[in-house]
This record gives sequence, structure tokens and C-alpha cells, in this order.
Amino acid sequence: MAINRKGADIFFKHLFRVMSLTSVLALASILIFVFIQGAGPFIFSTASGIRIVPERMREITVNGNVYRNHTTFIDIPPESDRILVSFSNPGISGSLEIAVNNAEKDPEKKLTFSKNENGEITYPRAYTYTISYPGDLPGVTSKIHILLPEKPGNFFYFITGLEWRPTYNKVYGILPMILGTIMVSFGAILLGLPLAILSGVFLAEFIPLKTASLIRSGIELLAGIPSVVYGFFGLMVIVPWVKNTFHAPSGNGLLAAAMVLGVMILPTIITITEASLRAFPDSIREASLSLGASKMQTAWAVALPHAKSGVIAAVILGISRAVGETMAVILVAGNSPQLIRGLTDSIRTLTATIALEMGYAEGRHNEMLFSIGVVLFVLILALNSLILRYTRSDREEAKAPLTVKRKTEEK
Amino acid sequence: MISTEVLSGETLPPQEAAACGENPDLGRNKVDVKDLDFFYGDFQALKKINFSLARQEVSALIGPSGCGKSTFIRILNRMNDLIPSCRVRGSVLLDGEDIYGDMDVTELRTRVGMVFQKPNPFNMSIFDNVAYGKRMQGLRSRRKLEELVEKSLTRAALWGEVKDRLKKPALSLSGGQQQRLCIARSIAMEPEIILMDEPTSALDPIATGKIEELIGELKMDYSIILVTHAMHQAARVSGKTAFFLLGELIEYNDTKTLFTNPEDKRTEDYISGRFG
Ligand SMILES: Nc1ncnc2c1ncn2[C@@H]1O[C@H](COP(=O)(O)OP(=O)(O)O)[C@@H](O)[C@H]1O
Ligand SMILES: [Mg+2]
Repeated sequence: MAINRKGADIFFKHLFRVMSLTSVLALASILIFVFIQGAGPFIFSTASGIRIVPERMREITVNGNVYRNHTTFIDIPPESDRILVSFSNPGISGSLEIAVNNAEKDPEKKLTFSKNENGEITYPRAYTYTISYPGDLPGVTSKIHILLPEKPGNFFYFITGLEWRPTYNKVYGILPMILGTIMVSFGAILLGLPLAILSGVFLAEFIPLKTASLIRSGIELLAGIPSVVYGFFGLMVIVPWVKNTFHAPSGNGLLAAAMVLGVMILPTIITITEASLRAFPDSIREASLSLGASKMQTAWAVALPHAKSGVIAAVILGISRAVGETMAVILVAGNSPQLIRGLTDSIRTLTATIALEMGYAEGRHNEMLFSIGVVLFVLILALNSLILRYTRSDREEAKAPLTVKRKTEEK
Repeated sequence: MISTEVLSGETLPPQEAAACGENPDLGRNKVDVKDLDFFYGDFQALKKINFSLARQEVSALIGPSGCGKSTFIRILNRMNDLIPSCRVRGSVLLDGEDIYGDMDVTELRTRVGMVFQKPNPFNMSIFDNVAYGKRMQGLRSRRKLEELVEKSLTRAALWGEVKDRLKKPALSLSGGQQQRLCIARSIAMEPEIILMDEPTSALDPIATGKIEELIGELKMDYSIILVTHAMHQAARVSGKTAFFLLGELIEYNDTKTLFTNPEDKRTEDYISGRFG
């Protein structure tokens, strides 16, 4: 029996070791992968040479190689100065000849296309050869994309740049979205927090337990509503209200987004505030009342400061929710990647950018969206650690003198 | 601290009159409790209590746990109001005024201070703890608050120990110091009565000694009701002692008489059981 127990002890000890090590390693490797992936577009070029991407091509021949129903990249060696593409689809076939001027630095002057009557080159912004012929359906046209390699992006511009034109101009500046995310979240906290804290105090301190728990379950129900419903509600109610009240050209914008998010973070903050106030010891509540303080004064001057760490945890959760919320924001924010000048201006958040563009992004654009995800990650981490720092320094202050005191008392 | 308000001249019930027979202050009682019944829902925690407290007197309440001592003193500052479904019957007069009448609860609580079983300072600085009550009444003057804090802490025999660290958190004090801080906090409200519910039960003997000494000094200025578990504490600091049993006030008499020559058999049993 004793030996068995000892054996089990050793077994579990090693099991826990292995498991905790594995999970730490897994987490670390995920983090490293994410950061490397996010840093990728600022370190590497998109490709070593030109790439051809066929879209809805039955058969395509590039420099003699035949590809059937091919949908991914066809890499052209960097040193080749002539690309011969011929294609054949039901009802149409043709060819395209591209001369590559490798000596030319400016990518716009790098390619020369021979004329082809069956299609059209969109030039010079994006190199897409669109084949059109009588009878084809709009939206299902066959295309050949010719992608020039993009140099490593400029990270500084990525963070501070004001322009986001990923498809045609290949300009990737996300400052408007970073500011948008911060402003929308901050606005939500500004509108929602006072309301939520007051409701929490009211629920915990001034309502009989039974009524309070009824109301609380109602509030918890609110927390379970899908965010798209909140967004829809915002679109139907808040957006028109903003439009009419502020005589804005459109109600979609910062204010509407902040209001919808402000409502969405209410349940979390209310329930956590209430719970931490309920955990506040009665003995201290009684001490305050016995000194002639009213119930309101007790809640305000003693209970709420005591519940501060809980409230701050609630605020962190609220901010994380506000920063991370996507669907509801997309519906009401207007989503223009611009620096705003007024409260009702259209605004776009980082998450909205990812959600809106992931569907069609290719190449560098796609990589940049991933990098936006990493920026979002860092942003939330920074916000949370900032708030946590304040709470922690508070707690240490309360603890530090205690140890000093013990020492002196022992003497 | 002698109040000039009109004093109650009502006659005392026979049991009371017998107990206070020789008291020249009869009718000048600080607190008069008549036929008090108290219910937690259906459970009657106190039955027909008659009790009085003279000015500048320390009354001790003794009795086995669960006999209603805490319930009784929490009636005197209406702390029981917080408990839903509790009921009070009978009258409790403070200087002849019914505390369950039109008296404002917050005013009552500033006149009747309370010190609890477990030290319960606020999570604030020592200074803020003492200044709390007056601040809540709207006192803002820094100078007056400083005076008040110094006076109260001195009165609670804590000033010397904390005068250099008033800004430190109250929770950094030792248990005994915290309890004296709570007493200082009550004193700062300039109460007429201080209720103490087993104030030393969470403390070590040295801290207990200090608090007992302090109670001895405070009785010069305040009427005190002290609930205690330790009979020697009652014997040491109180002038009168009340013995509670199962929600009834069995005997209320001079401490000396009660301990040496109890009238009731149950009192004698309890006392001898404890000492014997
Ligand atoms: N909040 C309450 N609800 C219901 N019963 C209570 C409550 N507080 C105390 N009691 C009951 O009232 C009686 C007296 O309690 P208490 O006054 O605390 O006794 P003591 O202080 O003398 O130990 C006990 O039987 C106790 O169980
Ligand atoms: Mg008790």
C-alpha cells in the first residue's frame, strides 16, 4: 500500500511535470509562430520573382508548362525577362506576351504587354488580365493575375501610416484603425462604466436579495445575446437616432459604435461589480453604519473602494470585449479607415478590417491582416497590463507595512 | 458629556426598581428598556427584557452564547434594522426619547457608538479611519479633522503608537491596535453611549489588558455596555452586570452582588459552573 502510494506520487509528479512543460512549450511556440508570422511581411519579400495566378482557367500554359484548373501561384524565375502565357477556355483561347524589364527599378514600368483583343489589362495599378467575350456572365470572368514581388513592408509606416489601400496602391498604414479601436473602446467604457457601476451598487446594496437575483438573471441573459443582434439593434435604433439628433449625413460612426459597445459591456461589469460588492464583509459595512453613515455613503466610501479590484477586473473584461468585438461594430461603425474629425464620423476598427477583408485578401494584403491581428493582441496585452499594474501597486502598498510591523512587534 | 435634554420620569418596572433601589440617579437613566421582545422571523430571541443604564456607568452583559446578548445591544443602535424579517416590540428610550419613534437612525448611531467583536477597521489610512464618521457628516476642515483625530486617538490610548504613521493603512496595525483604533473611531463621533460586543475576544491577553484599562478610563465620560464572555472581565470593569439566559434577562444587579450573592439559582449555577 505504502509503496503503491509512493509510486503513484512519483508517477503523478512526472505526469504533471510533463504536462505543464508541454503546455508551456505549446503556448510559447504558438506565440513565437504568431509573432514571426506577424513580422514576416516586414522582413521578407512576397516572392523572389513574378507570380502568375490564374482564376477560372480551364487550361493555361506558362513558358511551356501546362497547368489544368490551377488556382495557386505559378512562380516565374526572377531572372527571366519574357513570359509567354497562353490559355484556352471553352469558347475562347488566346495568348499574352509579357516583357519584363529587370533593369527597371520602378515596378510600374517593369512590364510591357503585347496587345490582345480578347481581354484587357488593368494597368498600371493592378496587373490583372481579364478575358471577356460575348455571353460570359458577370462575376465569373476568367482572369490572369500577374503579381510583382513586393519588397519587405515598412513597419514604421504600418504603425503610423494614415492610408490603408491594400488592393491597388499596396499602401498599408493602420494608424486610423488603431486609433479607431482605442476610441471606440474608450467611448464604450466612458458611456457604459458609470451606468454599470451604479447599477451594480444599486443591485448589491439597495435591493432585496430575491429581487436582485431576478434582475441579475435578466442581466446575465443580456450577456448571452449574440453580438450580431446587438449590432442589428444598433443599426435599427441607435444609428437613426444619432443621425437625427446630430444631423449627421449618416448615423454610422464612432458614436453609434461606442453606444452599442457600451450597452454590450454592461452585463459583465454589472454582474462582477455586484458580486464583488456582495463579497464585501458585513462587519465592515456595519462599522460604517454604526458611525452614522447612510447606506449610500457606506456603498460609496467603503464598499466600492473595497470592491475596487473586482471592479477593475470587470473594466478589463469590458475593454477586452470592446476591443475584440467585431460583428456589432461592423454593422454600425461605417468602417471608413480614416482619421475622424467629429463624433459621428465613420470609423473602422482593427477587428473590422480583418473581418471585412479576409475573404478576398491575397499575398501581402493577407499577411498584413495577420499582422493586424498581432497588433490587436499586443494592444489588448498592453491595456490589460496597464490596468493590472495599478491594482497590483495598490495591493502591495497595503501589504508592505504589515511585514515591517510584524518584525517590530516580535522584539 | 451630560445631556441637558428632558429626562424620562417614567416609573420603572418592579424588577428594575428593586435592582436600582439605592441609585440616587433613578429616573435619570441614559437608557431605559421596557418589555422588549425581539423576533428573528418566528424565532423569539429576546423575551420581556427590562433594563436600564445610568450615566457614566459600565454595564456588563454575561451569559452563554446564543442567549441574545449581541441581539440585545444591536437593538440599542438599531443595527438589527439590517436584518430582514426581524421585529421589535416594547420600548427603548434614550434620554426618554423612543429610538424606534421619529428619531433619525443615523443620528441615533452617532449618539450610540459600537465596537465589534472582531476589529473591523476600514481599508484606509489610520487617519481616514478616525475621521470617517465626521467626514460623512460633512466635516471638511483639515485642521478640525486633525484635532479630532489626535484627540480621539489619545483618548483611545493609541496616539503614542501611531502618531508618526497616520497615513499608513489601518490594516497594518496589530489586532489590539486595530481594536483600539475602532474605539477611537467611535469616540470621534462624540457618542453618549458606547456598545462593545465582546471587544477582546479576538485579542491576546496583553492587548485585552490594554483594552480593559481603556474601558476603565472611558467610563468617566461615557456610558458603556460591555458584552463579555469572560466573567473576570465583567467583574473587573463593570459597575453592574446583567445575566442573560435563553433570551431572558435573569438578573441585573451590582456586579459585586451578582457575583458574590446572586439572587437567582440559575445565575449562581452559571457563575459557579464557570469558576468552579
Ligand atoms: N440574523 C439572525 N437570524 C436568525 N437568528 C439569529 C440571527 N442572529 C442571531 N440569531 C439567533 O438569536 C439568538 C441570539 O443570538 P446572539 O444575540 O448572537 O447571542 P449571543 O451574542 O448571546 O451569543 C441565537 O439563538 C441565534 O441563533
Ligand atoms: Mg454574540
